[in-house]
Amino acid sequence: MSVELKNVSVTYPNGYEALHKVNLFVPDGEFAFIVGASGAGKSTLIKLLLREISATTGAVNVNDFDLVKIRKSKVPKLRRSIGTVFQDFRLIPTMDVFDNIAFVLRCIDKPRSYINSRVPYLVNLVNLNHRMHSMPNELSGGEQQRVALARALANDPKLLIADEPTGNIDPELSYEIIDLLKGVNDCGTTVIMVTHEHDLVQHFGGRVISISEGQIVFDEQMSGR
Amino acid sequence: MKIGSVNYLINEGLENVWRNKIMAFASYCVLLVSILLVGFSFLFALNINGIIGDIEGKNEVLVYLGDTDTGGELIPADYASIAIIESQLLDMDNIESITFYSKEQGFLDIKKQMQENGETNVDAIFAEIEKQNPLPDAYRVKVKDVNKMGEVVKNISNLSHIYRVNSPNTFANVLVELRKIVTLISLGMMLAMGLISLVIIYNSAKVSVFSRRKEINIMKYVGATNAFIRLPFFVEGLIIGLLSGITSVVITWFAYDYIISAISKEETILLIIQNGLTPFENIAFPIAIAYLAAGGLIGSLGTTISVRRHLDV
Repeated sequence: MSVELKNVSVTYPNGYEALHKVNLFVPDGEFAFIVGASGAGKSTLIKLLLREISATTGAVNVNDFDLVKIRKSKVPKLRRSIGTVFQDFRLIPTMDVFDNIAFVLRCIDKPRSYINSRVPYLVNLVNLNHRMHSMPNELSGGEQQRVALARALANDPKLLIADEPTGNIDPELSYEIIDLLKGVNDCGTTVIMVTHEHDLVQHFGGRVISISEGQIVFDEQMSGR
Repeated sequence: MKIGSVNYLINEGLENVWRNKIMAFASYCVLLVSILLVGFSFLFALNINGIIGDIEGKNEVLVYLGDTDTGGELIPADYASIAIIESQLLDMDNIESITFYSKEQGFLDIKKQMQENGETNVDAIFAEIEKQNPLPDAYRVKVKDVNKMGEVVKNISNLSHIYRVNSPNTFANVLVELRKIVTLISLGMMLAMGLISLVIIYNSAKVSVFSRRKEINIMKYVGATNAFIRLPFFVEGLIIGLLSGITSVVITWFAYDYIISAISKEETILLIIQNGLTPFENIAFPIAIAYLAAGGLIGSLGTTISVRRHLDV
């Protein structure tokens, strides 16, 4: 299974309960939207899946890792099985497109020959061949997000988490990004996309999980327009 | 970790030094000054110890035997007095050995010394006064512990039929006191400067980590291990530390040689301490190793501690 949460609650040190007895199961190969207003608990859920924080109670399983019992030294291994796309792209401004993607592969100790063949493949996948050696500040928001997506896919992850990937780009480019995510999903990667843009969700349809005040209030398959 | 990755990380470390050149330079300067201060106080202590050791090697008191008449003239000690003095010296504490130094031998030694100094008519002068040798008989007394030389001199002076006691007592006492002070200062300086350097390097690394926080954050999210993230910073600290160490060796070498040659020009000082001074060639290797180790250790430790605090993502 990709993601499974059983009776998960997260309470921050200041006493604020961000998630309350959440149960969630996302099987391999699924595309799921997570929607909710600000402060609903979406970010906490993402942090939980990336093992940035631990559940206060309950069980969390991601890509067959038990995140309650996982040792600190195993967290890098968990994260290597997950690709992450952030709203603010998080590209390194001093590196060009090639290096922003290659950097990830270097971090996980991939050999140079592999990097030299893998990066152009990924750049081609997100249709940015002509931008291979451009710096992030020379790219549009949509292009930067595509680089971020290519970077997230660099390690061929089993699970892709996209945290508001369309939040900082023009609406017309948002569709392009989700099309790319759908394409990734078609290749077998599980995709969890967090968004607050209901238009997009209604347009594409699929599984929609709605969070409000730390609880799942809606979890249904919806058809797109 | 693969060799290729290690090369990449070392390059990253080198680039970090360049990217944070101002802080890197500040760290380099602080570390350089620290190593030099500690190094020079160590070298000072080393030479003081050498000089003391040299004096300890000559820890000899010359005891001239005899009395003075009312006019202040020497009355040589008779055989009975000499025998009494010998037994009294042998009974004293802190005496390693005693050797009788006859006035005839003293006379010959002075003659020889004057000849060696190239003085003329030495034979004629000495032939004239040989019959009335004015020198007193003496004992050469070797002291066990130079720290207690003053006490020994005092005890000998209190004996009867002692004309005069010559000893390097005062100078040795000053050096012994100096050694204590220098040792204390060196230790204090070593601790203080080590700590200051560590704090500066730590803060420099903090700036470096802060400027690269985005990268570190992404590294953590993509599954880079802590060791992988730390290595470039470790290399950065190591490079700054080693550079400081190398520069310190060069500066120490020139400054030390300059000081030694300046001292060597002062004949009076040189006469007393020349055998106690350590030439730089004799200590160059251990000094270089110590400087490089100190620089490398403080540099890499400072950055490693700093990065450690920023890895909890």
